[in-house]
Amino acid sequence: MARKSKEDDYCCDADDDDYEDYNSTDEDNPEECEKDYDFVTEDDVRRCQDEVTAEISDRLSVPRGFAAAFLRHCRWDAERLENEWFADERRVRGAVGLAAAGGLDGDVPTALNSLPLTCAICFDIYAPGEMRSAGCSHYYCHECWRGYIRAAVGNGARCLLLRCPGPGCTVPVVRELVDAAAAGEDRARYAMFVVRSFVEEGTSKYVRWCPGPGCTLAVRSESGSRLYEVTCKCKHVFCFRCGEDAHRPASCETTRAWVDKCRSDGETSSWVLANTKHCPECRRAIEKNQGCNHMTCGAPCYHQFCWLCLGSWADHSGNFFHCNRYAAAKSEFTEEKTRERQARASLERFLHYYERFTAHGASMKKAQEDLDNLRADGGGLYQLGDAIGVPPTELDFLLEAYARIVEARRVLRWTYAHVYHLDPARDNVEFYEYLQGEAEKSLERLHHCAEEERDLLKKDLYYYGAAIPAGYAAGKYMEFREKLCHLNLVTRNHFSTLVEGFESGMAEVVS
Amino acid sequence: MAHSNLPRRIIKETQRLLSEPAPGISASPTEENMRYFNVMILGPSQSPYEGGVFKLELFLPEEYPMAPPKVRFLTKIYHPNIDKLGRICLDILKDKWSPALQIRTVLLSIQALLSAPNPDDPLADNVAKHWKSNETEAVETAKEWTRLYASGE
Ligand SMILES: [Zn+2]
Ligand SMILES: [Zn+2]
Ligand SMILES: [Zn+2]
Ligand SMILES: [Zn+2]
Repeated sequence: MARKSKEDDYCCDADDDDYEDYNSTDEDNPEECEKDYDFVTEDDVRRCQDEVTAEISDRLSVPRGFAAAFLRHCRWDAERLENEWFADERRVRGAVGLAAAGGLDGDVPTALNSLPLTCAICFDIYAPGEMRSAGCSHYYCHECWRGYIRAAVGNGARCLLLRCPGPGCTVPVVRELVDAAAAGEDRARYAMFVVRSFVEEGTSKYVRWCPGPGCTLAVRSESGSRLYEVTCKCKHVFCFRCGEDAHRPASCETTRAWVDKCRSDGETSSWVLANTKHCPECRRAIEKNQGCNHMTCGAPCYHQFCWLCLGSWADHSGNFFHCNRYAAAKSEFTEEKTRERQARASLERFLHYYERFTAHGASMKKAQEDLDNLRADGGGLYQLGDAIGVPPTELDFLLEAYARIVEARRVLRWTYAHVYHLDPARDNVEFYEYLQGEAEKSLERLHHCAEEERDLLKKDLYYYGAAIPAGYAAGKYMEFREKLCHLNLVTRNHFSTLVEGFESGMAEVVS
Repeated sequence: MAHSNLPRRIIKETQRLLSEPAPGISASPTEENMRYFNVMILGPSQSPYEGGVFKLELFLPEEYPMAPPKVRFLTKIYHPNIDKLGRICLDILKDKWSPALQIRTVLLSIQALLSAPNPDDPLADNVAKHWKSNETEAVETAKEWTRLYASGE
């Protein structure tokens, strides 16, 4: 039976070694050690920020709005602010636009006029108490402040840097003034920018928004943790350091470079992939020009074949009239200038990695969908359980296998970004590719088993129907279960070796 | 005249511009649109623009004075901070705008910019390059352009 030979295949020696090793790599399992983070809502973030601000306000004896301005200047790092403040208070004040020391009444974030004055914005005259200032001597009427803050908030987060409108005056407009003068919705927007600043402009070592689509949660890590990858409650998996999609074992820098490359060349590449096949003779990428199906590979191969069936063109002479109008383009192609050829070679190199990066991404997505379907109420798990006569709760091993596949596909795709950025002259590319190849093989076997052999099992049992021999289903099921669990462990070990190998060599790549 | 919903500030600014014009500057709103001003600035003495009469247009957008006025040279001028289309690189017309500034302050600042071109913050790249590599020659070109395009006809 064909299935038998496959079993022999997966029971090869190398895998058995892995199987014995697996206990020793237990603590490297990312699922078990990265628990040093929690999820917080915007309100939690605000509360935390208010606490820090209140504390600084007390310690420096300044109003809260100024405390927030100082904190923001120090990227919301209270410790840094205190150090800078006690080393050189003048400088910190100057940085946010405040004079060296508070006025006669100390620091005042907003004050009302005590004399009748003309508003320098609307030119009307106002009685005492009808105007306010940012604590300086420039008073404007309430209406003009409202408009001034509205315009600033409309300009986005820069409203946190708002200054008094007085020409040349640098006094900051802070929370107390905004709350006293602005319209309700502008106050709310200003408050939102303040909270965002805490996360986005903060040293961002400890809090970060989840970049998942539509997700409003923030992730907070224990201070001092070397947090890398985070799985949000919304299921989005991302890098805590740079905010990109999770990208282990590629470094944040490699990831940035790769994402930029894909952004600039990705569109061309997707097109080329959709319009490119490989020469059946030499395997080089052949780009399809227009609708012609007669393809000629470049030098030195010159193999002619049909785009549609990849068969030799010699068998397609009947179709030749479709293609002759592209003869000119064809001869141009074979006489490419060196520069074009080099550009092409560099694109081909990128394509090699991009295609695999994309393909593993697609497989990952598919596996995630399968996993979601299995988990869904009355989903695949129940059907399978019904078919084999096993309660769905006993099928956790299948969910575990799928979770492994999703995770491994993610890691594998990023290894392609990593290897693309290696320098063949300096890095041991072969070593990386060896690890990658081994891991990939184990993953393909696991995925195949989880997908196709599960299907086969179902079909097999369905075929027998009611006439199923006693013990047959149980036997088949046990066989499948054992194999899948084994492949899962093998894959897990390959991937932990892979991640370890890639990450330990990382310093050589990004320098 | 469409005075009806013009903010009092604009009316007052306009009255003052007309009754006490700044030296070397004139600005008057058009009949059809009280937010659109025809402006004339005389080239400051001891600048390459001396003797020139420069026409500008100034428009007060709906958000004025929370947003800055829009100003543009109509007369061709050779200046590192003014481009071919007459657009002006001046901080108070952009992020340094404050509603406590006025049309008068803006026009005075533009006049000052004619006296002190700033090739380090250029809008017209080739003019700025010219200015930095050979200032004498660039000043000559500016004078030539003033004679050619700003002679007041
Ligand atoms: Zn002020
Ligand atoms: Zn006012
Ligand atoms: Zn999320
Ligand atoms: Zn990262």
